[in-house]
Amino acid sequence: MTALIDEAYERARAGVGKVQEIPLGVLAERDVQRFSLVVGHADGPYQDRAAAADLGHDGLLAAPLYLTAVLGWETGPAEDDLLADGNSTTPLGDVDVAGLRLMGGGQDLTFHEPVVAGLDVVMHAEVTAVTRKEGRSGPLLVIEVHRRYVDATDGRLLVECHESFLAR
Amino acid sequence: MSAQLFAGDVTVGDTVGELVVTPTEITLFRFSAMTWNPHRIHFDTPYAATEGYPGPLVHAHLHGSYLARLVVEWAGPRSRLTRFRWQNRQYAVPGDELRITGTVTSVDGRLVSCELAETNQRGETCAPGWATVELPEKNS
Repeated sequence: MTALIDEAYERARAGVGKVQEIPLGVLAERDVQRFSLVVGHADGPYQDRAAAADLGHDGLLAAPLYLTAVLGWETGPAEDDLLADGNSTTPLGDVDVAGLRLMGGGQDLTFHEPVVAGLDVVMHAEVTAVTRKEGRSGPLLVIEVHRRYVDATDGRLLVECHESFLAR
Repeated sequence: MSAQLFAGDVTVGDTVGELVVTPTEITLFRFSAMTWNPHRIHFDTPYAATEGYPGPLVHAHLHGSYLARLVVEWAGPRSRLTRFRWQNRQYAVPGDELRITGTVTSVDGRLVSCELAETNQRGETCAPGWATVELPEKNS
């Protein structure tokens, strides 16, 4: 286990500081609505265009964590290419975590502009730090990721997110 | 829809309402689907047992979503969430009753900061959180 963590540590460190630009595409109204519904925003600007327009929005309002909770914006790997636990082998884009399991440790979000359906969004993601620690159940890595979500049409910054992952 | 709070309506120590949710296996399945998250820990009970858990785990970002929901519902539709952070401390499984509460910790003009907590039916904190919202002026 220690050797695997050490190997993952070295590989992940090689990705620190590299910024990946990932086009998320146009936020589909139905996806925005469905996410809102699952987390409990069942009405108002999250579900009703007129209610969103009354608040000055050009589309349905996305729930606060919509952009930062979605793990994959592309088609993703075929099932045969997933790990046995269902996880992607590259959950952090091209940052190599050598097949370790990732668990979300929390997020720190700054909201600059409302996120609404119909926006064309690009994500800039960067692993900012990788730290090796000794946990109660053995060694682990803490991986810090900074993501910036911008409007693809004019570059406006929409949301910033600092997120930490525990990798075992 | 929730009522609207305005600048001047709240003071330090006020409670930020309360939200009680009991996620089900369907909730977790739909959250996995919406976030394109294929991790079996969130929908496969026998798999979760192999990792020592009594059921599939509520997603980290679902805990966060519940905390954020409390704040935006409390503040009202014309308020703007400007900052939000949370941490994951304790896992939850379907059937757990999650109670989300909060307290106003500072007021600076239109900006109101709150401390939040999601606790389970045993009183354990699953996820603490912190948020800042910008309230509209009454005459705006």
